[in-house]
Amino acid sequence: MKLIVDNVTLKLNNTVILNSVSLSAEQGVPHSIIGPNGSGKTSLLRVIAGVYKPTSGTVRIDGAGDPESIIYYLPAEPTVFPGMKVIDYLQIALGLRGLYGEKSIGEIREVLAEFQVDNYLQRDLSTLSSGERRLVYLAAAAATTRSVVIIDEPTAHLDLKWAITSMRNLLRHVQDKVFIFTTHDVNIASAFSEHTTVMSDGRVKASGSPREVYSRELLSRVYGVDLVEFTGPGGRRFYVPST
Amino acid sequence: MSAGEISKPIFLYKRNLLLTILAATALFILEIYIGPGRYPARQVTEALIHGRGPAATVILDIRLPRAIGAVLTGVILGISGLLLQVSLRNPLAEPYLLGVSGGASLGVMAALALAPSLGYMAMDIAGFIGALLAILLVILVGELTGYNVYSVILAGVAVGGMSASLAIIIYLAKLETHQLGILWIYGTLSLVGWSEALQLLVPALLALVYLAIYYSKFNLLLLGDEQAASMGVSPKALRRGMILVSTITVGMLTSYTGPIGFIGLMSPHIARMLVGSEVRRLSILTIPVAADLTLISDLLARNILPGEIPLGSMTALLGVPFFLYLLSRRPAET
Repeated sequence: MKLIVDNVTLKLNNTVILNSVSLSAEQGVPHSIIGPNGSGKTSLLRVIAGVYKPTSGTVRIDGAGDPESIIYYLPAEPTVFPGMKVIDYLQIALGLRGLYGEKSIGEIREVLAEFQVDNYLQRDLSTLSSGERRLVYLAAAAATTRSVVIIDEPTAHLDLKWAITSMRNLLRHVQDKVFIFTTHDVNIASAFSEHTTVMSDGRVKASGSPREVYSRELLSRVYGVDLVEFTGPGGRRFYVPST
Repeated sequence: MSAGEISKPIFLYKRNLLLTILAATALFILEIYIGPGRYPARQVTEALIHGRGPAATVILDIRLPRAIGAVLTGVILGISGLLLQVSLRNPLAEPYLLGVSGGASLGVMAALALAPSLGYMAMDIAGFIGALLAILLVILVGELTGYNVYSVILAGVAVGGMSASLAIIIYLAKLETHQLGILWIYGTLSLVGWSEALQLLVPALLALVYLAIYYSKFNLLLLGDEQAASMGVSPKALRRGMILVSTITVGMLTSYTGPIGFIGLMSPHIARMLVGSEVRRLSILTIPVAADLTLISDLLARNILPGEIPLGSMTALLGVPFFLYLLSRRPAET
């Protein structure tokens, strides 16, 4: 299975948000999208998820059916109904009518434990910290049976331990799926994706394996800051400020 | 977390559903047995079973249709409150506080001032038009404030207050001798006889059928617009439909009962406290809870004073403390 974004242009209120963007994300190859604020990352995810209709170009999924029933999209800041409990969110997000039954809970319980949300299932989502809330959303995304998982900023609000742990957990759960995520953290993208798309001003600047694509020059230019490069395990490259 | 602990909610849901339905049944029977006529229980039973005796007329032609009217009123207000809360993402929303009921009663009053002997259908339409104009004003404020929870409610209270004032003025100026008395202005079931109860079946069934068809989409709306849109729901169109159904049903209801507040606020909240937010369980439980609240309020309205208190005043007595509790509990979420 393969998700293909083919030459997508998106205009909102006569402003060009995405300009001839193409990418292809394959099953089992985690795909990151990076780029500075306003570069069109979130808009691109919304087009892929079907929230926005592209002005021109197409999004298609080869080897799968109706996108509405196979895509699981987690926005950066879901505006869930005020006063909703964690367990209600999980049940609704996963469409598990039998969540409260003995049968299906066994499957999801382990996922909840991996993200440590099993301790506050009865809490009101709005009373959780933003990090805890994020873990609930990620647990649902990890537990979905849908075969295309799209997450805007998976590690937002998470501390270093949970950013890493969550990405590891997610990768394990989506290993047979199409998985696309955006991130502001180049190092998260470098560590946890096998394919990357670098965006700037609504255009694709570079695309390919992070090992090949990421360079001090490219990222310093795209983000407009001086960076220093380190090479980590497996040849993955990481970046810190030059001063 | 054990499997038993997790499966507790389904048990609680069924138990709560059973209890609220039993309560509604008991209250329905009380509504028939207890009333200002003070008939002994034996005579009421005789009237119910054999259709005769000194109480027969009052029981069969007044209390029975009124009790049925109370249940239908609860169904309409409860579902309408739920639809408004979910569609506007506003836990404080309900038809009365959003000015829908007030707008409907103004519509009915205005129509009667123009033509005092209107049929049911014309009254229903007048109620709906008034309700629609009121909600459109509130939605306008919502659009301008990004549907801020409190701005929308304040706008609704203001529109409702203005509508009520205009309705009273029209009533005093032109309709003081009309059969829709002062009780109706404040909300009452005293005008609901058999034909009115039958007419109320229409909005009640409309609300129930709409809910049954669309509840799974309402669920997605709870996750936020983006996630709903990614699952094939058009949040805007769905919202419009929900608000329209709520406005039609409450508009029609109000032409028979006048404005009745807070049932639509309290019922979904009490149901949510019992079974959580998932809309299928929530809406199924909201219905008997709303019937319970309407029957309790009407029993009190009919029996605590020698004369009848308007039902709308009774529901406000119960609902305002509940509203204040919700206000004090909620952090400023928008």
